[in-house]
Amino acid sequence: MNKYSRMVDTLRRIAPVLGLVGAALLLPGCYAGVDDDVAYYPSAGFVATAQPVFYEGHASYWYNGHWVYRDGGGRWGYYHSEPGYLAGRRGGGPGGYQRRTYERSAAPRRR
Amino acid sequence: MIKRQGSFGWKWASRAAFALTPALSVVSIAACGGAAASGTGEAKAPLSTQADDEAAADVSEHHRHHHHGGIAMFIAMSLDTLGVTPEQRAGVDKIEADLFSRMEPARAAEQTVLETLADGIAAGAIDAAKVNAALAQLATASAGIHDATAEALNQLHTALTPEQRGALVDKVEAHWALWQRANADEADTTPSAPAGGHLRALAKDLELTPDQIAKIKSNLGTAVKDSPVKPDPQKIEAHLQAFGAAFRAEAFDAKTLSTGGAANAQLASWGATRIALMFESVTPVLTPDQRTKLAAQVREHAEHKESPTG
Repeated sequence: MNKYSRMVDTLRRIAPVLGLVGAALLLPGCYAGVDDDVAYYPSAGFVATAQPVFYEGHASYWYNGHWVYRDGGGRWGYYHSEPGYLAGRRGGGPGGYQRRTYERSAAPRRR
Repeated sequence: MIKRQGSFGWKWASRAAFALTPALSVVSIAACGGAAASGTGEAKAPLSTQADDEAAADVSEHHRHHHHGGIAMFIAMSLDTLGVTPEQRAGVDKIEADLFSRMEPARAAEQTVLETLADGIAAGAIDAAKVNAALAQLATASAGIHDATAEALNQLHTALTPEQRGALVDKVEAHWALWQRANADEADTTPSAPAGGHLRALAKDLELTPDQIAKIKSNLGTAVKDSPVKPDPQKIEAHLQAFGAAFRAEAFDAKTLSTGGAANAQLASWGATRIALMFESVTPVLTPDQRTKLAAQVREHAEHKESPTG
């Protein structure tokens, strides 16, 4: 058995161990990152009164520290990190907006 | 023989592992990298809506007292925060003004209902026959709103982009959810249950005692049970679904929606009836000072008039 054959043979032997160790290390870390980043979609009171910013074909709302949006299927999604276009538009676009007040005064909106 | 079989098994096992290792790595990287590359995830239901509800308290107050416009009112109110461009603004404001104008006969009918109730509250006895006649006029006027606003809704569809149409439908559905919460007193009228939206607001405004609240709940329970007008949310939701699907589509014609008239009539009729039932239940329990205060509030609501400028 020459040197090359020995290397291949060794690789074959340790390959399953390397694969398992790699998966064990990579996958939990990957999903832990996603799970730590939880976003909530806005309530009816928020959707009815907040102004969205239109981005990537849907209305996005800045809600509890995330940009959330409703996709075509009706599910609420969110961006893990703030897209550049939406940064600076948290108040509903450049200059913000002043919504009409119906009946009596409303409590100030949380940002 | 045994040795040969063992050697054969190990050989194929190691070959399979050799092939699977890169595949596993690719899957791992794709799972991680895919999430990072798309940068999106699925949002969960909010844990608490209290702060949002407080921020929308004025809208809830409106939904508690004004039902004449039905779904068309939800649409008009949604335009306020839709986020149209400056170039679209003038056109959308014109459509909104048209919507309010088409709702005017129903608004006037609702004003009569509220004024009749205010008179009765101030006097200490509500004239039920007079209120019922006014409610019937309101139901008739509201039933005609869908047909009256169909052309304005078609113009609105043309004026908006596809994503704005989707956002409008979301907002209309949100207004319906708020409306239901604001008008939920009839759900549980047992004395120990927490007061619903309207009664809770009245308890705060009029400083009702626990005994007064218990009596009002008892009166309301009987009044709701005996009322000939019953809530029928399915009728409204059927129209909301039909409108939502149609309005999101590229082609839209409000005149083809057959559910609008009945939904608007139901929303206006039930909403105004439950106001009447509430005030009929409240009035006998109040002190003269509380009645004076409530009558003034109801007159204020009666004079309220929506417009694109506030």
